[in-house]
Amino acid sequence: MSTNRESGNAGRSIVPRSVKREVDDKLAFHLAMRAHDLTARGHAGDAEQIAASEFGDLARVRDECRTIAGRRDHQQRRTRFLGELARDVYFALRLLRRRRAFATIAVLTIALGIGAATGIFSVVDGVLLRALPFTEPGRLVAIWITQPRLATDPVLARYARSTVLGSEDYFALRDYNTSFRDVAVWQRGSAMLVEQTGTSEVRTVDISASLLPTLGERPVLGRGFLPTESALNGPKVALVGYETWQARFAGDSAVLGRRVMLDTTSYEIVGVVPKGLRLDRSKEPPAFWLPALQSDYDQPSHHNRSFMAVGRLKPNVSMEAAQREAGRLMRGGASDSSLGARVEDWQHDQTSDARLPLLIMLASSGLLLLIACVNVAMLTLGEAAAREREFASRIALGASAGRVIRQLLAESLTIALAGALLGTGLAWALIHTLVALAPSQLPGIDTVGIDLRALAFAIACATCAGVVFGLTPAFSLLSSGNGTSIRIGAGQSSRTARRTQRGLVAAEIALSLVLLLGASLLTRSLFTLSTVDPGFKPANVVAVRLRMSQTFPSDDALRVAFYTAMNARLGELYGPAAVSAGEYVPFSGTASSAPTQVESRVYDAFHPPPSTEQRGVFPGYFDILGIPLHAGRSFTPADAMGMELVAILSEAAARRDFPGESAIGKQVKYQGKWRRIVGVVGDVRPSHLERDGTPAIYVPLAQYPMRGVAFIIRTTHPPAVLRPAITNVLRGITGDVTLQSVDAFPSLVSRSYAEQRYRTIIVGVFALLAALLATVGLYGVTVRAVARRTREVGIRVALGATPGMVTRLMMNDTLAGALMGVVVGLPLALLLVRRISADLFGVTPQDPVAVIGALMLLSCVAVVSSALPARRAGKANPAAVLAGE
Amino acid sequence: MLANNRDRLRGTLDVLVLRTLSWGPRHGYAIARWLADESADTVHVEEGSLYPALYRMEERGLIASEWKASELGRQAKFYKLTAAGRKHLRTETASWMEFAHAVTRILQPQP
Repeated sequence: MSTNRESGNAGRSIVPRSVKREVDDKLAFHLAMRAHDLTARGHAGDAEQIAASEFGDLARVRDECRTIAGRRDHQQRRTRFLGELARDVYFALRLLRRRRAFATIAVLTIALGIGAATGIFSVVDGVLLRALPFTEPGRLVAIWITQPRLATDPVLARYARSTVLGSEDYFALRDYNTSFRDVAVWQRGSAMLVEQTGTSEVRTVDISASLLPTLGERPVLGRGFLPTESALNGPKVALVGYETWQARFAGDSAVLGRRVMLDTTSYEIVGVVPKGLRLDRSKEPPAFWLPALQSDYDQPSHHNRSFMAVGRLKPNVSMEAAQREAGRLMRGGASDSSLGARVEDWQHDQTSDARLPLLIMLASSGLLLLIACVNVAMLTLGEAAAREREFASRIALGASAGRVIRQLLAESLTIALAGALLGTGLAWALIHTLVALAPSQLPGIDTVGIDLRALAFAIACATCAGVVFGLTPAFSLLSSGNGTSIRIGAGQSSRTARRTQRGLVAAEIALSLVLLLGASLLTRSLFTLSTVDPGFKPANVVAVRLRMSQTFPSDDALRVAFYTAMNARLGELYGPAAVSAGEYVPFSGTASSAPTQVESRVYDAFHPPPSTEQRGVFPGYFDILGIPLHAGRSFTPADAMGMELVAILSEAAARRDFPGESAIGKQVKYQGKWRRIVGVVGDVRPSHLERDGTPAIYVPLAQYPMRGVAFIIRTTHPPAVLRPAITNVLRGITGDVTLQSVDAFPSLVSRSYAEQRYRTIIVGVFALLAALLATVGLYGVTVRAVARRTREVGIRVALGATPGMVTRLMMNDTLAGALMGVVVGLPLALLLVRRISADLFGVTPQDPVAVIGALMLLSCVAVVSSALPARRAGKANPAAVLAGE
Repeated sequence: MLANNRDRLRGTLDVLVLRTLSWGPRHGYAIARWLADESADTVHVEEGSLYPALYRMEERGLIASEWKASELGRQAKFYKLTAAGRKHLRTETASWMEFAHAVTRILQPQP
């Protein structure tokens, strides 16, 4: 009993009023009839009361009836709706089969738009949106030291916001913080894995014992590191990456306790980290995880900052509070009072460089999708205009306007969903290309793929698209006065349809203009960037980088002996003048700087000696790399160990340290020793073309041999040919050094702007597709306009219009729309591209070349695509046209 | 127990209504009158409870309704049996008879 009443009450609100009234009427009818009968039997006075009492609980009965009737009504509506939907879809499919050309073009166009949008969305989703695969990823933060003082330093500016931590910073943070549940540090590395079958380079990562607990991860096998292991002279234990475990140890659980030889140290494997676990989302998970902080070099006394840091915030601690506290702790032991800390969401921090480029790509794919929609809307409108008579007669025969709109919507949604299906396939292919071509700057890109989220995105896109391009023609048709269409007939188009058509042309041109302008700006920017003079001549020079094992002698004389021997052997192969060596060669991804002092300045804590890029080089280095000598002399073999200490400054260093005077002959203090400056050379951009050349000091390698030496060879041989020869040479000299890489300098330089090229190519392809779609769309519009107006053309020609006049007349509509599109689109485009100005190099968002280029391309599109069909109309034979009517 | 009684009553009411309609379409009030007149005191039903039963059977597809003019000239909903309703009536009648027969046999004083 009570259940019924409850459901009755609960259901009352959703029961339609018509159903309620029907129930009420019925019950009232019963009571009235009964009262009527009772009156007839003589109960004149109390007929109603008797009727009511016989009836029982009126309110309960009413509620119960309403609930049942409401439920039934709902079911009926749904059945009716589904039935009509099925019919609509059936009609739509039949229609599309009949108009195969229209359907094919429409589906392909939408598939193109949805494919592009879904593909890029998947990348954005995978890189930017999807949470990191750790428990409570929102509490994980990156911790950096900030050094605001460095913001204006040409060499060290990149450290101003993001300096890695030293062990002293880590210990301070670990021992005294109140904001973090856990703090951990790590450091990327690589090692030569020595096996019986040979040696190979593997990626490693040094981690503090707290790292896995911070992330909320546990080894899938064995154990993690103990705090006593990531400490000075801790035991040599290692975790193996899941992938490496599978590949090299066949997933055997007996791996625990086995030993691996990394460089010259034997490690005991104590655990296996979970599948796919990695800290920087670069393409490959590390092969081995080693305990950090074991070497003397990593102890606080060395003030060596080389650790990335990650922390897990305690609940209810804000990032700002954690940042304030971390800043205080960082300043604790340091003399620099301007030191601070930056605490930022870990994922956000990892993807900050990728964000703008990805959003640019996403925006451009969105524009392409919109353009595709407009295109299909134009197509559908043209198609619908030809069907005016059909719709008019259906409305005349009693179909409501709503039914006709639904019919049109069903058609457009069918097209859109078919497009989405095909588009998802396209997206899949696109993603493969995107992932394969992706530069390493896109973290996590290798995990990108088509999944349910992407599919949902595609379907959402399709639904919106279907509604947009279905409703536009529908409303245009209906507002054109459907009742009169019968009289007008299909031969002439209504004014509203033409106006809508013109609006769509305008929208298409405006959207294309935004995309084209963006693409041409990026292209111009890329071109400017790629033609920047790096300060040296990369052509026909290769960089040979070596890997020194731990046993490589630390004795300067032995090192110099090795470098000299290697130089001589390579000189025998490729010509003595074509071979030299240098530390931290440009664009090799490594750089190093040291403070330098000059005699005439006084330095103190507030005015520390400035940082200068340091490079030790062999004679011939400047010649081979084509770095111009501006003053003084180059190094010679005479600048050897035990001889006078000399140095060469780069132009920027000379200007900074000796403004307004010649640097030649002056003294500069470098690594604790005074050196006489013997020459000044041109500036070299160290790693990126968009960054200016930095102040640099060059010293003879023979006088200051470091470990990061690369040999440079001027040769026309490709790296693949050089590699075996150099490996041979190395083997003949020492076993402590292996070949790391052989790269042609031009490819090193172009790799430095790979990301810019990537995004430019993608946006550029989208823009070209947009131009193609615009061409097809405008062409279609004009063809239809011409077809609709054949009769008018015939009369005009009969009355003496020249073909030229007819052509112009036919083009007018399309061109007017296009012009409108430019008028609206240009300010819009200029406004929107301002947002990418941070990503442009050497061009302003208003760059006239880009603007004019985009406009010219679009003008060509508009004129060509409308002139072709219009000219055909102009050549028409009036007699034939009129006879055909 | 109460629920059981109610269910049995409801089931019985349904069969009675179907039986009423087996002679031809009629509206709710007419069904109510017939039930009241025929079974006067034996099966006492509040007239009101007829209506939820009608809606429920309509929902189950046992009866169908259409608007017609009633005796008083007002529009009223006339119910008629559907094929499913006819079948339901047959099976329910049979099972009721069987039940009644069994109960009767048990209750009959043994000679």
